[in-house]
This record gives sequence, structure tokens and C-alpha cells, in this order.
Amino acid sequence: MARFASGKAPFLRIADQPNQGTGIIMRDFMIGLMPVILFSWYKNGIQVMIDGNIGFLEMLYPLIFMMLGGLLSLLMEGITLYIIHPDSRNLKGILGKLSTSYAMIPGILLAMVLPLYTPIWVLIFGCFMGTVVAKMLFGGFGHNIFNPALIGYLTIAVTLTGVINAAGGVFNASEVLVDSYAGATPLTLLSKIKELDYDKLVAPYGSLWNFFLGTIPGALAETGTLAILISYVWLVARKVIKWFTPLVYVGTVFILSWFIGIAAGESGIWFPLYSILSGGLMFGAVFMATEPVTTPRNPLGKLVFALFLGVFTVLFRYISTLPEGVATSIIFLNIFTMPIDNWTAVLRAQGLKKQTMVKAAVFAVLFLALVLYAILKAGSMYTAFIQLPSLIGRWF
Amino acid sequence: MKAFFGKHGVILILVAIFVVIFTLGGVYSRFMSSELEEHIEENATGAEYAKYLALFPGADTVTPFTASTVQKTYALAGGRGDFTPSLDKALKILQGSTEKGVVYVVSTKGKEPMIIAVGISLETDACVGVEVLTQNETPGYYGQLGDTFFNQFADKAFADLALAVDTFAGVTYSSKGFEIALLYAREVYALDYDFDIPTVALTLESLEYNFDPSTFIATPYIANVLYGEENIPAAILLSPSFDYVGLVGGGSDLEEDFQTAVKALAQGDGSLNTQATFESFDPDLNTLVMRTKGYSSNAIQATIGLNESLDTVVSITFISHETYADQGGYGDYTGGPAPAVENNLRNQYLADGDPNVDSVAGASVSSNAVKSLLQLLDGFIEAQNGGE
Repeated sequence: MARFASGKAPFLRIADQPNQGTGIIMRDFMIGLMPVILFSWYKNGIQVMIDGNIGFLEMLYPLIFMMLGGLLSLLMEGITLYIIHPDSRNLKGILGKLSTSYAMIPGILLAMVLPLYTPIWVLIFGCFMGTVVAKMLFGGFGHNIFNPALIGYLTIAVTLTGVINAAGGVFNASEVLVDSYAGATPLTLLSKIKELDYDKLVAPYGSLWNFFLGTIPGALAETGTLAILISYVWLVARKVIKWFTPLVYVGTVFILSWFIGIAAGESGIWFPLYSILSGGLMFGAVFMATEPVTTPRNPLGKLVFALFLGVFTVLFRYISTLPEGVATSIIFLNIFTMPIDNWTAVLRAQGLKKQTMVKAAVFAVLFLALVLYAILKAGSMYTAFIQLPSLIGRWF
Repeated sequence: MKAFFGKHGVILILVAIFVVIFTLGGVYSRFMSSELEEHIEENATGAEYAKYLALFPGADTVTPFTASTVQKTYALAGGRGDFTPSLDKALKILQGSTEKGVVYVVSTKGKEPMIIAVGISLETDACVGVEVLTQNETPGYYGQLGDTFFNQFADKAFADLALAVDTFAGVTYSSKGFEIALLYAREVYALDYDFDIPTVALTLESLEYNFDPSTFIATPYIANVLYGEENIPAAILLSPSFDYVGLVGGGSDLEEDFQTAVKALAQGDGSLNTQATFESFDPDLNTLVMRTKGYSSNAIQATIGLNESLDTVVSITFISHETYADQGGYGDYTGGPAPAVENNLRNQYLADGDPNVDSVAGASVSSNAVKSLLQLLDGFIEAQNGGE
């Protein structure tokens, strides 16, 4: 983000000030993850043991799994550094580099978005794809284009979902016994039945209150909306993330889902709420869409990025074979981070003038076209109610 | 060595840590998966045991045990041959340390294989209920079995000689599957708990249709038996539900135990097709009215005109409530409304006199129903003609 000093010299970089800089940001980010990690451990470990469905060692697994994700990521980055830096093949040199690259974070985030019964070797594979391929091959911390954790996640989702399901899948030992879940998470259910019915989409999991608290089935840490909101408040207060990025992202999904609900003859607010409280949207909005390296840096760029994320997430939910949409849309938009950053920086600096109007119009037209396309692609949900959009939808 | 570790120590340590995580982590995640499988299995067993406990009020424990081995064969419904059931497991039902009952899980067969658990009270030597664990019967038929059917198992005394299951109309195959499970469970129970199965000296020699027009409506079947210590032969008239009615040609009635035994044996025989029946016979017009059950037990009635000596069919007219829609899920018959199929089969029969007509594609259930009617008619004509 471009900042211009207007006072008197000498000018000092904020990052060089005490209690500032990347190290402090990453420390605060780790603290921000704590409520979500603890909630995940409680929901998938402690509570299940209290239910009498698992023993002590199984209770520890969610916590160990997330810690292991961080450790594996650190380890792989260390090995990669050893290989690609012949001049610093000693413990001191490697530790020095690791201390400034925040190597644990991709692994922890990856572990948090995986199902509970993911085998360790799958986690290792995901960490390799995330840390070595998506981060180190691009030059390491600060040079990567794609979010490393999400590259690891998507690689696993595309290639090894069957292995995870065979090992036990997403349901913890208490959830697996609940008949009403019928072996499906809320978004999987939506992608299967393609029908907006509260009794079918929400009631099997309790109520929307359960969605908010996070006591519904889902990947390790993605369901705990309340815990994620606590993290959000902390991260915003510590200025680690911009407050509006998650808000705009989630808000776009909310409004677009509401439109889709209305078009399908279901104007209740439950469906947009269901849409934002299901799956990894909240987690992705707070921890992934705000990632400083792979997302735009200027505020207008962040805003545009979040708006497009919202549209693409809804779109991918209805056209993709994966029911989620968050990871795919973030990775897809990571590609456009630089152009968005450049265009919006000019717009921000020059304002709406004749020269910049074209760029603003391109953004606006593109956005509206995508919104329309997303609504059309969700046509299978409301074919019976509105004929025209579904007819048009066949042309795309 | 020191120089080697000095140069490569870091990478060796990193790789060693990686190998440790790979190995121990793999063991840990495998442990998690196996525990989950065990947990699901335990829960499924718990849910199954809860069903058994519900059959015995006050009972609190289910314990598996090894039951006696019984090898016995039973006739399947519809003359589809014999079947040998087997015992999947046996469970004792306890209240505290007191044994209250026993559950035998029996692999039986209705139309398809079924697994049925039979709960037996040790206090009353009676079946207290059954639980169907798995079945793959035709949904359209099996779904008709409701509370009335299942309630008959709530207190069914094993001292009852016949131990017959009241068949639900149109669901004879499945009903027979339940009866086989019940009879087999009684055999095992008798060995395990020294229970005496009631017996009577009576042998069913054969079961046949009654072709006498003056009696065939009320007593459509005749059982030829040998009874008593002296093996006295007797021909017994049976009602449509195989109840004892009397002896052919009259005479003194059999004792009640023999009557019950005849019913049990006739019901279990399965050699006759009971789908088609005689409804009436007009000796003045030589007109025979018969009926058979088509798809979903729809009535198909045939009025048959015979010649004076009753040995030739002159005409057959159908009144049918049959529907040909998607019989057995193989698509609809599209050759016209009922009685199109019936007339097709009639024409085949009138052409060559052979009751084993070719089924009409898309209407196999209707075809089988009419075929059974024609076979019964053929038997009637042969009987009137002195078997010629």
C-alpha cells in the first residue's frame, strides 16, 4: 500500500518501529487463530470425549493434528532452504531464515480446513504442495502468488478426498452417530438436493443458532463462526487485517444468496444466513482473503477483491463439483491480485476522471455480469419459479 | 564421522524428524480411523440390542451365546422349492442376573433372503415379537405388512402345534419367510431349553385341488393323509385358508390335534398355487366362473363356457380390474387397456389347449396370474373327463 509522508524529515518506516513490523503482525495473527483452534479442539475432541464416544488419545488428535500441520510446514521449508541455499547449510543459517518467513502458518491453516479424519500422510502431501510448491518455488515468503494453505487444500480436495472419506471423513465420533445428518455437511446437502427448504437444509442440524455456534459438521476449524468472529475483532483491533475485507466478502455472498432465495420463491432471511454460516466462508473471509502477500494492498483493491470473491464463491457453489467455493475463488482471484492492485491504485490516486473512468467501468461491468451469471447458474434452484433466467442460463 | 555430521547434520536431523512424524503420525491417524470404525460398530450393535431389550420389559442386558445346531428344511411359498434356514446368532436377554428370554437371529427367505430376529420368553415359552434386520422384498408388497401383521407375533405360544403365521393377502411369500423363521427358532429353542414341540402322528401324503363343482367353492383343497398309530388313510376337505372342514364323502371327524396338524402341514406344503380360485359353477348353462389375482392383487374374473360333457372350453370372457402400469419396474405394457393381456393369453389357450401360454412382454405379473387360472381350469377339465 502506498503511503506518503507529509511531515518533516527524517522519515522512519513504521515497520522499523518497536512493536511494529511483520514479526509482530504474524505474532498477532497466531494469537488470532487461538480462539478458532481452541474451539475446534473443544468441538472435535473434548466434547466428544465428554459424550463418551472417544478416549484420551483421540481427544488430543485435533490439537496435535493442527500443531503437526505447522511443524510439517516448518520442516519442509527448512529442508527446502537447505537444498536451495548451499551457503547457509547450518542450523543457525536455516533457523535465521525460518524466523522471518513464518513457515508454520500455512501448515496450521491447512490443517484447520481439513476434515478431522485426514490421514497424516495426506496432511504431509498438502503441506508439501502448499509450502514447497506454492511458496518456496515462487521465492519464499513475500513472493508467492497463491495462498499456500489453499493450494495444499485444493490439491487434497481434488485428488485425495476419497482417501479421507475412507479413513473416517469429516464427522467426529459423535456426529457420525446422528442419523439426521445422513452423512452430509450442510453445503453437501444443498448441492445434492438443490432445493431451498429450511426443514431439509437447516433443521437436520438443529437451527441457525447451531450454525452460528459451530456445532454442525464440517472441517476441523471452519464451522466455529462465533470463535472466528472473536478472532476477527482481535485481528481488526490489532490492525492485522482491514475490517472491511471480510465484511464485504461475506456481505456480497449474503446479498447474492438472498437474491437467489427470492428468485426461488424463498424470501426468508434464513437462506442468506445459512449461506454465510455454512462451510468455510467465515474462516476464509477472516484468515485467507486478508492474507497480506497474495491479496491486493491498497484499500480500494481489497474492496474490489472482496466483492469479486463474494460473487465467485456463490458462482463456484453452483457450478463446481466441490460444494464449497471459498478456496477455489480465493485461489482464482490470487491470479488477479496484481492487476487489481495496479488499476485500483490509479483509481484511488486520481479519482474518477476521464482517464480512469474506463477502468472503473470495466470493473463495474465485469462485476455486474458476474453477479448476473451467478444468479443464472443458480437457476436449477428456482426453475419452477422464474422461467426466463433459467432459459437464458442454458445459453451459457 | 564427525566431519560428516558437521557437514550434513542439519539435513539429517530435519529428515529424521520428518520420518518420525510420518511414522508416528501414520500410526496415530490409523488408530483414529480404527477406533472410529469400532465405535460405529459398537453403536450399531447397541442400537440392535436396544430393539431386543424393548421386546422384554425390564430386561437390561444382552449376552451372545452359542446355540444348538439345527438342520431343517421348509417349503417356500408358491411351490418355489425348499429352503434351509440358518442361525446367524443367539442372544440371552437378562434382567440383572435372571434370564428372561432369548433372541434367535435367523436367516430365512420370503421372496428374497431376509434376516429376522425372533424374541422368545422363557417364562411363557412364547414368541414375544420379531424384528426384521434386513430384507429385500418387493416394496409394493412388503410395504403392505402393517401393525396387524406384526402384532400377531407379540404373544405366539410355541405350544401351538401349527405355529402358523396369518398370511397378509397378496404378501404370501414374505409371510412364509416369517413363518419359516418362527418354526426354525422354535426348533433351536427346543434343543437349547428342553422345550417339547407338540407333535401328532399325521403324515401329509399329497395336497390337491378339489374339482367337484358342488363343493369346490367352500373347500377348494383336498389333503390326503395317513394319521394315528395305524396310519389310517383319509381324504380331507380344506377351506381356502386350509382349515379342516370334513372328510371327503363324510364320516366321523378327526380329533382337534389332527385337524390342527393337517392345517399346519397343508399351509406349509406350498405345492399348490393358490392364486386362482373357483367362484361358481352353473350346471344348467355349463358355465364356470373363476378368479385370479393380478398386479397388486387386482381381481381378474373369467367366465368359462364349457360343452355338455364339460371336457372342452367353448369360450372365455374376462372382467378385469388389472392395470399394466410398470409391473415389476420393467416398463408399461402398451398393447391396450385390460383385458388386452388376458384376451391375448386366452386366444393362445383356445388355439392349442395348452395352459402354459407364453407371457406377454411388459405384463409378466398379469400373465402369470392368468396362466395360473388356465392351469387350474385345465385340471378341472381333466378331472371332469376322468383324467383323460
